[in-house]
Amino acid sequence: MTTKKIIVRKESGLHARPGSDLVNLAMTFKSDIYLIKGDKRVNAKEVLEILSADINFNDEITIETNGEDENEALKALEEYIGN
Amino acid sequence: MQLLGIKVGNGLGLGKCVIIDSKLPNLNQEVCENKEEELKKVSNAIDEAIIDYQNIIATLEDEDLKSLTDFNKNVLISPSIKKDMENIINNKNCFGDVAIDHYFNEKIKQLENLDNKYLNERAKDVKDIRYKVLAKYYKIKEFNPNTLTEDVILVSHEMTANVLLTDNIAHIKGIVSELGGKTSHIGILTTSLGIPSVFGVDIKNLKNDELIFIDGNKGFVENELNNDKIKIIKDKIQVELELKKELDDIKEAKTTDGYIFDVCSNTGDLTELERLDSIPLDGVGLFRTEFLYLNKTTPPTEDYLFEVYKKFVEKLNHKQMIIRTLDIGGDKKCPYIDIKDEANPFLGYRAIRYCLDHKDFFKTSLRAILRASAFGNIAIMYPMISSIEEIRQANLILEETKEELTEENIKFNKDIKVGVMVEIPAIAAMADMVIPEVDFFSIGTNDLVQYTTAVDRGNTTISKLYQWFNPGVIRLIKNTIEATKKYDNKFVGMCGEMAADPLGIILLVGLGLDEFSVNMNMVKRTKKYISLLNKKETENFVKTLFDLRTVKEIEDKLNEFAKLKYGKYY
Repeated sequence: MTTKKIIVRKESGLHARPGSDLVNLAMTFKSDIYLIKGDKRVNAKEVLEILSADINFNDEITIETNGEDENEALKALEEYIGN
Repeated sequence: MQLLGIKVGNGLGLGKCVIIDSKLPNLNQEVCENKEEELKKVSNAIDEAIIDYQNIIATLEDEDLKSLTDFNKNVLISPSIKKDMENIINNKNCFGDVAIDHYFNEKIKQLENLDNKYLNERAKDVKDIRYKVLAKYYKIKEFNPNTLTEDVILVSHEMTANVLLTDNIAHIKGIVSELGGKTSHIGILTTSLGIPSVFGVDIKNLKNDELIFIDGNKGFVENELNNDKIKIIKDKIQVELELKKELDDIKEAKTTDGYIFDVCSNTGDLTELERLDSIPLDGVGLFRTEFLYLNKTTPPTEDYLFEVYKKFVEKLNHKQMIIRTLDIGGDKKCPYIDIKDEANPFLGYRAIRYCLDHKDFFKTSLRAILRASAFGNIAIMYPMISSIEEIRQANLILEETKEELTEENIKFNKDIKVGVMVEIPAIAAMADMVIPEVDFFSIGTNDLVQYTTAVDRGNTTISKLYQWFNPGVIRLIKNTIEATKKYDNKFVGMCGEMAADPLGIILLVGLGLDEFSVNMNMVKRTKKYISLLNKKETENFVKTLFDLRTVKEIEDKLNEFAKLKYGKYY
């Protein structure tokens, strides 16, 4: 399992459009991918879960990946959310 | 015959009436014996809906519709959806339609219960998805907009947004629905796509294939059209199209005698940031900070607020942005702001009244604004001011905040302009006393009218008494504007729907308002209307309005002038 803390740099947070794009990205990996904000831990392949975590610009979140391509997955998500 | 309704999406349209039967069969509430078969049917319904969405995505060009469809698809490709459906069928011994309904209702409820307006809205997307999957389950042939070959107006008891997910949208000239309102999902979509739409219409008199007319500007649908009528309508639509085209070229709001007015936009919604520089606006006349506070469980940090303001003001490239400090009250609640339920939240503990009592909280918001003022042209505005004491008290806190920043060696604009909202009649009445204390006024007409006429405009029984052109209201506006004219370095703006109203524009140009602040999609139109007026002549005309005693006389006279000056655009 790999984890990393990052600051959300998407201006409109991870709501409908960016949230949906994130699912498309997460789906390209075999690993399980979770986003953790405060006491909420949500599956990055479930768009409604991502929405309900209400992740906003400048929030600090943790990405957690687990599986055969966990390093690639972590890198890709970090790039998407943190840039 | 004219069928009246609620205007939702602006514009005019003429097309063949297509009635979409949107009613689904009743849910099968019996006990299910063959669960495996049901699960298979549900699974197929989901797969078919996914394929539909994928096909739509492949043909769409509009980015907003594309991302909406992609979101819908992603809700259905959820890794857990089928397992969840299976559990529901097994636990409840129910048929597939009950399971689908139950599954999505839970998701809808979750979204609706979140303390976030934006996410509450997304529940509407999920309702459309539920409809789609149920239609697949029942094997109902859905209306397919891709097959349209001629101009149509779509009519339904309850329209879902699914009908708009097509690249064939040019053939959809209007949307008529019995149910739904401005903020329904389809309502928001038609507004942003520029499709005329009228809701709340009794559709039983409409017939398939008949040519009908929709007027989204006034809010009605008309059928039984004769040839003369059709010709008039076609001319009207042509003028509307020309206006739209001319609006694309508009840059400044210059009157025929060469006087330039500022037309700014209201904003505060982060999703509007990207659009800011695509519109010919002269600044932001009202940045509503509420959005940054409302959707949160803890107060936003100073750094967060600072970064948002900085991003916006940098995008504005030296144009002015007026930031209104927090306007919040018993009607808009945050979990971290302690305002009790009140009988009259609009007359209660809100906005500046709360901020003055919570100095640290207020200071944090001021620090963020001041810090951002080093990166562009920012002004501060206090809402809900009813007395000069409040202005002085707020300014004292502002001065303290400035001193703190200076001590910390943090850069900010030391001469930042400070103004107040004129929305409480007391302030408008004593505008001459207030103006020496501030740099500018911004008239908030929505509340000023509500407070002056004592009419809650949300109350449909009395909403017809909510009138901008009430002689009492326009006197307060005149008094406010005139008070600023004695000072060369002060200005007065208006943020409120009146500033974008064709008749309101005449009054305000005539009274000499300096800055019009309107919704982003009204900026060009407002500039166009101003550019059709002659300032001197309008001033003389507006003087005559103050001899009239009733709203009707004032409106009739304005109407006459508008027809003369705006001509075909009115």
